[in-house]
Amino acid sequence: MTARWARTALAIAGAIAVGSVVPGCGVRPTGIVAAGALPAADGRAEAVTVYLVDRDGRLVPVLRPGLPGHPYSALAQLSVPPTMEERRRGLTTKVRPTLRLEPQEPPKADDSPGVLTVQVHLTRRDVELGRVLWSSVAKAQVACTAAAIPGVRRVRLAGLLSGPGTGVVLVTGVLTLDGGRWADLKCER
Amino acid sequence: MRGVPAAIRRWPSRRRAGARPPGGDRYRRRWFSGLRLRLTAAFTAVALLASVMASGISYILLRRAMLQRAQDTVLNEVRQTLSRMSPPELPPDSAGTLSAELEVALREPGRKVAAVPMLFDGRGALPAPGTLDVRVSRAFAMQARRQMVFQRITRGGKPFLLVGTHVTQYVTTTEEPERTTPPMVFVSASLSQEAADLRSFTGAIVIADSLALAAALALALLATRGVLRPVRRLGAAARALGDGELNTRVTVRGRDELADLARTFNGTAEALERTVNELRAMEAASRRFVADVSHELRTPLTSMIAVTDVLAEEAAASEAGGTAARLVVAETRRLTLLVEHLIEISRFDAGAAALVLDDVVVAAAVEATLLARGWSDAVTVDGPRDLVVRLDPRRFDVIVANLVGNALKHGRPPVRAVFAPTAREDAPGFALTVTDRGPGMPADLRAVVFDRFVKAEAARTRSEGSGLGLSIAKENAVLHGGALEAGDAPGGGAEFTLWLPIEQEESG
Repeated sequence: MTARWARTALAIAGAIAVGSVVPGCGVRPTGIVAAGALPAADGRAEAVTVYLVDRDGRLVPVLRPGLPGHPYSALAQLSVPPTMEERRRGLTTKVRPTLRLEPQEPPKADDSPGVLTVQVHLTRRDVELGRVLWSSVAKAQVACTAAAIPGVRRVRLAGLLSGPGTGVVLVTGVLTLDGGRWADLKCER
Repeated sequence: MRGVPAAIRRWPSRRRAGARPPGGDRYRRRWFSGLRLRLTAAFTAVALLASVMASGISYILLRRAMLQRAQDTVLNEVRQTLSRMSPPELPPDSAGTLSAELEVALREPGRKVAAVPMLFDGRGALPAPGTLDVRVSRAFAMQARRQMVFQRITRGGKPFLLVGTHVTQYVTTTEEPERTTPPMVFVSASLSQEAADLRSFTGAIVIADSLALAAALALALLATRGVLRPVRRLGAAARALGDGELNTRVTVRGRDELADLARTFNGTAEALERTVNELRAMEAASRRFVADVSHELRTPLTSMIAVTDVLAEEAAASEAGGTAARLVVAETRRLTLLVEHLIEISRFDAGAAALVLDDVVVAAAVEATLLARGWSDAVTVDGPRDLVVRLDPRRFDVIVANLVGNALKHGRPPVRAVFAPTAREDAPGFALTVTDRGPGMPADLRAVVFDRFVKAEAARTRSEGSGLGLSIAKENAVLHGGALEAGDAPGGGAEFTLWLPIEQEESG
């Protein structure tokens, strides 16, 4: 009787020992586990000034939130359709939405101080249609928006541009705030 | 001290008779199934249990810590990167740029990132299949919109950690929320490194546990040996004590219970030895007294016989005097016989009896014995005539004379003496059987027939024998290394069987 009891106890102890080890080997899958609250959006970025066009064709500065790490995001924002609130104010942008402006970040080494290079990407369809991509108003928007960025005095647009009536040509233009060839519109302060 | 060696010599003789004390085989058999195995098994089981439990617990703790660290690393990185890179207010239509940046920032070897735009149709946004190592379930995506969640998933036998989250505390518009809502981020991180570490840890644990088990086994064997050796020594000592080696003692070591037991054993053995020695001394003294008395009686008896013979011849003239004188002569002769027998028995008791061996033709020896006592006509002898045995002829004569005389005296004719070679316990020998046609032996007599002064007719105090004849015969048989037994003949009557070995040790 004692021997049987001892054997039973031994078997139970062995089962506990084995049972505590065997199922736990390796990395076990889990269910969906909560890991705390959502992270708070805390990226620091200065608000940027974007020049839009009002109903009368005048350039109007608008503040938009910046993107952390993108000090020149204002230029990229030019081709973005205005927000509902801006549209209610009658503001619009003359930079075609199919254009994608990509400011060179950081500035190229061979750029002279104060010059910002903006790569312009356009769609193949725009090229094929030979659309007039850059109105003077659009150029003015770029020039004024760039001028609002601290430290930028000139903008170089790089990429495929098309002038009025000339078809698609490769143009590298430099917009300057004061008396540049394309700066025929004044930035309204 | 003349008697003491005799008493000691009796012990081995008992052993030679086959009365081997039990326990030897049982002891050896218990060696593997007994206390040693049980103790070793229990000890090893406890050690195994302890080491397995310890390693199991350490394994679980280590795994928890390892996975916790891996998870926390990924979770913290995702949390911090998302927090750092997501602006509280997203510029319109910048989610794609932010997604690309987040994917680049969080990507690492073994880790894949998918930042997908929030959907506003009530369903969770799901990364495209293949962008992550594991599939993201809809329930996971739904929960990831409200809080940071993770899940460990095994895919293809490899463990992965899936993390899903979104940022909070951002500003968006009610009219066009999809344009200014930060993306959801899903990260799948491989836990293969952790799994490999755990595997190597498991291997180390198995090796360590095996070593611990081996060590425990060795220690258990050592410990049980330490415990069982005194027990074994005590058992051997007890057996030796039982075999008559009364001076057996065990050495007492340590102060534990076994030492107490050994001490008690020694005390008991000492007391026993003292008592037995006293008894032996007393017995020896009484035997010596008998021997001395017999010797002292012999000399006057010899003179008395000579005198009574003369007296009997002179008294034969008168009728009454002749009867009295004959009675005196007979009684004196009987007394002489008794004294002779007592002296013979005393020699046996003193261990002074020795064999004088010779090659003897059994048939001739038996017939000579019968002829010398005038019994040749009363007894029929049967047996191989060429049987030659090495024995003491004088003692053999005493045995045969006692057996045949006994048969003639107490049984009825025909008395037969039959001998034949017979092996006993693989020892070659021969048996001599003396039977009569008498009433046989009473059952209560058979057990004591070889004891001293036992007579068939107990009530008859004045029997003719000394009451020592069969005792002397038995002692003589035993001295030869043989045996003498009493029983009933198949056809009624008593039967005495003498068995003697053919070979004799010369020293015996």
